[in-house]
Amino acid sequence: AERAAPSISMVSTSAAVHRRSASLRQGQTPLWWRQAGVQCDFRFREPVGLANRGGGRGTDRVAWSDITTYRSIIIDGVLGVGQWREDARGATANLPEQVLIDQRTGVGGTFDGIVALTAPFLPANATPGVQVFPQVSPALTSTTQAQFVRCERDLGGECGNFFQLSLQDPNPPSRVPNARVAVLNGRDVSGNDYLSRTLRDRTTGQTRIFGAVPTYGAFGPVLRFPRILDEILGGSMQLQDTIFRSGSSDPNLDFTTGIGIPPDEVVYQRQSDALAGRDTLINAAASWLTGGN
Amino acid sequence: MFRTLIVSTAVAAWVASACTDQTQSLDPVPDAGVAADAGSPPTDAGFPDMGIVDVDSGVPPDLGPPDTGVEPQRRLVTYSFLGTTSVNNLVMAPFFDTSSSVGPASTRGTVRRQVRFDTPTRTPSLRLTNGAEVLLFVQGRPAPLFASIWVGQPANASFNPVQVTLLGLGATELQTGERLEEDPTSEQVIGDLRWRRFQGALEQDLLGNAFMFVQSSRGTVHLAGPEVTQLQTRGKFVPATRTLTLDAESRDRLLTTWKAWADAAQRQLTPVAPRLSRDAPLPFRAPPL
Repeated sequence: AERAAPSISMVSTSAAVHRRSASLRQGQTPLWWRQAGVQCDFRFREPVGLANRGGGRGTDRVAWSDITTYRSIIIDGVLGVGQWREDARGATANLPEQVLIDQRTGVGGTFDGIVALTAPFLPANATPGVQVFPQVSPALTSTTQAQFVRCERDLGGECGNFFQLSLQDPNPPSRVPNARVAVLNGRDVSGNDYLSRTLRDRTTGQTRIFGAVPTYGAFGPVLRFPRILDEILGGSMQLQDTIFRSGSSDPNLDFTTGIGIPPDEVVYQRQSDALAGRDTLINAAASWLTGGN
Repeated sequence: MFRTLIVSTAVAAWVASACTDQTQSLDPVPDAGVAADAGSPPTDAGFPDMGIVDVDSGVPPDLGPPDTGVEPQRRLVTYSFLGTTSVNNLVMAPFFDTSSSVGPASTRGTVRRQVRFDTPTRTPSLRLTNGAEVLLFVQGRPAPLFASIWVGQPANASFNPVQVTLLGLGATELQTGERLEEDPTSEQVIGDLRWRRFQGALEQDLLGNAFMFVQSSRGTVHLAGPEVTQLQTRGKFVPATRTLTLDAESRDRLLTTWKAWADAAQRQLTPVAPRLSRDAPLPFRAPPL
C-alpha cells in the first residue's frame, strides 16, 4: 500500500534548486505534474494506508487513516473545493487527540482549504482571521488599515484588492482544540504556507512542524503579470501580503513578506532509515504524537 | 520547456520567412549593376556535379535599374519596447493583455485586443464595439496622479462620446475618482482612425489597486497607451481636480464587477489564468487575480 517515492536524491539536492523548480511550476494548472506523469515528491513513504483514500486525485487528494492512537492525514495542496472539500470533512470527522498532517508536497490552494484543516483544531470561541493587503505606498499604518476595513464594511465589495477572512468554521466535522498536531513539511507554498502558520498560531493544544526547510512565505493571492507583445506567459508573483490576527481587536500590523514558517524540529530523511525502509519524518512525528517531548 | 522551445523555434522561423518576402529597407541599396553571369560553369576542383543542382538554369540576372517609386508592402519602423509610454506607468497591463488585469465591466458589446503599432503610442490597442465597457487595473499611489489614454474612432465619422474615469479607494473617501477630459489639441489621424487623448489628474491618494474605467457608447472605439503616473510636482498639470460622484447605475455596476473580482481573489490562491488567443474575446466573468 505504501509506495517508495524516488526521494533520496531529491532530499540531498539543495533547497535553492527545489525553490526554483517549484516557482517555475506555479503558473501551471494544479494537476500539471500528474498529467505530465511526474510522481516524485519529498516523501520517502506515505503515512496513510488504503483505508480512506477519498475520491480525489493528484493535488486534490485527501487520504486518511487511523494508525494506533493517532489520525494520519495526507494532502498535497489545500484545494478546498469539490471532492477535496468532501474528503477533508471525512478526514477531520471524529478526530482523536493526536493528528499527523503530511503536506510535504504543498502546492497551495484556497482559503476554504485552509479553514477546513484549521478550524477543527480551534476552540469554538476563537476568532482568528487574516487581512490580505495589496501593495500600499507609503507603508501601511493603522489609519490606512482602518480605511480598508471601513471600505469593506460599508461597500461590501472590492476595496483596492483588500479583503479579510475568518479562519473559523462554526460547524466543523469535529473539534479537538487541545489536540497535538504534527505537521510534516517539505516544499510548501501559498495555501500550505498559510496552513503551517494557522496551525502554528493555535493558542490551545500543541502544534509541531517537522521538516528540513521553512515554507516559502508566499502569503497572498497570485497576481499575474501581463504578457509583453507575444510572450507566452507574463509570469506571476504573490505581491499581496497578510496580517494574521488572533481576533478583531488584534493591533498587529506586521507582515511576514517572504518569510516562511520554519520547522520546529529540523528533520532530514536519513539514508540509514531509507535503507531500512523507514521514513525519518514520519517516525519523528509519530514518536512525538505518542508521548515524546 | 520543450514545448516552449518548439513554439519559439516555430515562431522564429515564421518571422524569418515573413521578413524575407517583399520586404524593403527604408534605405535601399541601389542595384550596383553587377555583371551578368557569363554562362561559364565554375571551375571545379574535382568534385563532379552530380546533377542535383542546376547551377545556372538560364534565368536572366537582374540587370534592370534600381527600384524606384514602388510602394513597399512592408516598412521598417523604429520600435521602442514600451512605445512612447512612461517607464513609471502604474497601469498594470498597458498593452491590454487579456490574461491579466484587464476585464470587461459589463456584458455589452465585445472587447478584442489588437497587436498593432499604428497608434499614437505605438503600443497594442483594445477595440471596443457596441457599447462595451472595460476596467483596467492600476496600482494606487499617493497623489497627485496624472492619468491619460488615447481613444481612436473611425476618421470618416463623428467622434462618439466616450467616458474614461480613474477611480478607486481613496485615503479619506471610500470612492474617489476623476473623469478624464478630451484634450482638444491632441487630435491625430493615423491611417483610418482619428485619435484623441483623454487626461486628468487626481489629488487624493489611491490605496491598493485602483481602476481606469472606460465606457464607450456606440460604434467602434479603440484604446491605446493608458497611463497613470505619479506627479512629482503638485499642480504641474492644469486640469482641475474634483471628487467625482458616479451616478447610481454606474456605481452599482462597478460594485457588482468589483465584488465578483474580489470574490475570485479571495477564493483563488493559486489561480489559473484563462487561456485566450491574442484576439479572442474576453470572457464575461471575473479573471482570477
